[in-house]
Amino acid sequence: MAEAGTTLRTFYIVLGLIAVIGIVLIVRAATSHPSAPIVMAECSGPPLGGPPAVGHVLGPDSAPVQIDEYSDFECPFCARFAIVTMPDVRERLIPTGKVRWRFMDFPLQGHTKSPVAHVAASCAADQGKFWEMEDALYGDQNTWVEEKNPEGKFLEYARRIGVNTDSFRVCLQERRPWPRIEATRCLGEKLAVGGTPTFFINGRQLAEPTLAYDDLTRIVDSIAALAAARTPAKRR
Amino acid sequence: MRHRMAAAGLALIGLLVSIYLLLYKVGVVGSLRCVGSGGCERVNTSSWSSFLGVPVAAFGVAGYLVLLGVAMYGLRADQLERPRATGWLAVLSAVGVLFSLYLLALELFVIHAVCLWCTVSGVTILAIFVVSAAALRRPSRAPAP
Repeated sequence: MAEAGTTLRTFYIVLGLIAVIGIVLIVRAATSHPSAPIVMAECSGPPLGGPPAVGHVLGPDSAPVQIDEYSDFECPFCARFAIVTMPDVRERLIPTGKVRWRFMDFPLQGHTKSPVAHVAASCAADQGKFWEMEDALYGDQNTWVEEKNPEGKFLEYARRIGVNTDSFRVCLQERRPWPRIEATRCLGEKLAVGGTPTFFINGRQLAEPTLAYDDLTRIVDSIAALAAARTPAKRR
Repeated sequence: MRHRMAAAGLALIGLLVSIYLLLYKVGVVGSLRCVGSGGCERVNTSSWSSFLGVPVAAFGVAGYLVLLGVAMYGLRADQLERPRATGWLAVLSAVGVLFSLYLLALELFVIHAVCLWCTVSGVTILAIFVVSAAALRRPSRAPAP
């Protein structure tokens, strides 16, 4: 009986040790490699020497019409535009050479998952897959927005679109592109972007934020026609 | 007595693994330490990582807690000679083994990714079942007074 008592005592000690070691490992996992926090800076004075606000570009630099789209990955209107209109823009409008399209990161205050989604898109952009990631983020917006930790979803999208997940994971966890995103967001704030999506066509903010493809082509065609008319006049 | 000790130790390991996976699912743990190219995250962020709207890992936590409780109860002096706790361990772990097989089939044939931690949990529950079933076939004897 005494032997059984000793055995049980030893067993409880071992069990306690397993519990303590396990808890320590879990706590370390939860705290030792956290993804860097994202803090939205005040845009009153962007730091000197920071990255430029370049956005993500489709179309030739020589295009007569430049459209800047300030967009937020958590915004449902942006998702609708990306799903309904953007495929036509990419497949029909961009190939005409009339438009240079820039996606400008504009994560809104209060959209808590949006900053990391923009980081994920820019990390994919570093591997030449921004537009594929944009499709994934907007196409599956309802899912990742509900996730408490959407980074796993972003990794899943990265894998699906053929991004190298090892470097993507590091980029995402270290928030490497965040300064670029901040620069773009601050540029938007300077331009008085109040909501998303907001479009600028050749620098002029469009009053109608819900842009349909037909309206867009009408505007683009008229500007392109004007530009074409001016070019021969200059040559004369 | 030893098989119940083994079952309790294994249940504790399974409980810790399940807590780790659950903390990842609810966003407390940022990324899972996993071998290979992210199979753990792929499995644990898939739509199959929840069952009836509850994270699968939560079922693991609950299941291993019950198994740990039963094993510890079976180690009480007044229960050592009774086979009831071992029977319960065998039945409950058999249910766990079946659920683990279902999850493994999902990983292999639906999600096409294998999660290391889920495999550890599967092996743990299988080990509890083997230990308990073997003890049922050869009932343990209380130590001589």
